[in-house]
Amino acid sequence: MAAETGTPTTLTLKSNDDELFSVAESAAILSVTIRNMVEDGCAGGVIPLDNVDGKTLASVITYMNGISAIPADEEKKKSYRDKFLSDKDFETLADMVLAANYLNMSCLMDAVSAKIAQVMEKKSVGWVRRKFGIENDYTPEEEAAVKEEHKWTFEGVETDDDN
Amino acid sequence: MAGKQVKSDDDKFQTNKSAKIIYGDNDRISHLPDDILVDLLSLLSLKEAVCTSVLSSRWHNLWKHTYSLNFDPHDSLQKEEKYVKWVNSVIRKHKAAILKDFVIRLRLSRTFQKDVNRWIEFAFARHVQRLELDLSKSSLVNCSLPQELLTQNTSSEIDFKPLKVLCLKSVDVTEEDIKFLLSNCPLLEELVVDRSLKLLNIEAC
Repeated sequence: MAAETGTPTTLTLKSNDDELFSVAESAAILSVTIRNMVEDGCAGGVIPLDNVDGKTLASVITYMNGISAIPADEEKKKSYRDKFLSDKDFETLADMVLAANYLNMSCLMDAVSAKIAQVMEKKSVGWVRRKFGIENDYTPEEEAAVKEEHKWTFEGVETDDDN
Repeated sequence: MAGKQVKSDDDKFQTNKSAKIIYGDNDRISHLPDDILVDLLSLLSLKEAVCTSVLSSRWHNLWKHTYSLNFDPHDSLQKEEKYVKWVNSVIRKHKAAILKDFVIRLRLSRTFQKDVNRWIEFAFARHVQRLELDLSKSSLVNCSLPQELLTQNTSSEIDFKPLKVLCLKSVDVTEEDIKFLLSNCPLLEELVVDRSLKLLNIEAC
């Protein structure tokens, strides 16, 4: 362990598309999944992360490095998270929330979920469908029935405009 | 699609942390496990969470599992009757076993006492952690807490223990009600009572 030897320990992570990444153990253990592997002595070789692709893992590692370099200051950490997520598109956010779930990183998970919710706020059903690429598999009759079921909720809501 | 399972049968709602993204499909978000999507919907307003049911069949029942029910009246629901119908319709459909928040905010007269009773019982049966009733005084007679609930012999479904925050505005509470709550809600951290017409004295130790 780094604390015992005085030299930083580096871990090697492997994405599901076989990309290899080196990351300081002190940053990687922000992931409870990785921390458990380290504590169980299973992190000596390459750590395979079967549910995360290389592009997403690179991004998560950038986050791990960035957030672990900030001292215990919740305000600064929050502002780093906001900045880190500010330029991410929906596909990336959806991939990141899944990766954060798999890696058991609650702080990243909460931040990404809040970001997605923030973007969905006050948007029409049509806008959300287009932005997330959600295929509407309802028949027109089924869709009308869902709206009728929640008619109070849908009053004043446009389903296919851009706002 | 990944979520067909929740369309027709609520009991089939399952969490699936190991669900894999099917690449090549642009719809990443619908492939997220149910529990993540429910977390996400719990961050939206109730109206917006319910609106997602029309996105696709994957989303049809997800909102019913959110752990936050905040009945903030939106423009179209300012009328008492309409609001009460809305709350009743939502709690009839809602399935979450545990509620973190249950919030009612509307000018509501005592005419709706039975509904208010039902809502409070619903919240406690779902192990509510934060309960807020702001019935902004609209008449000389406030709603009150359901007396049949505040006894030691309530049904086993009612659970006061997880309650951390209780906020009652324009709801009549008596000293006995407060005493009952203080002795039956061990985790209670915050208690707000405002514009209660019956609470004259309070003695706590």
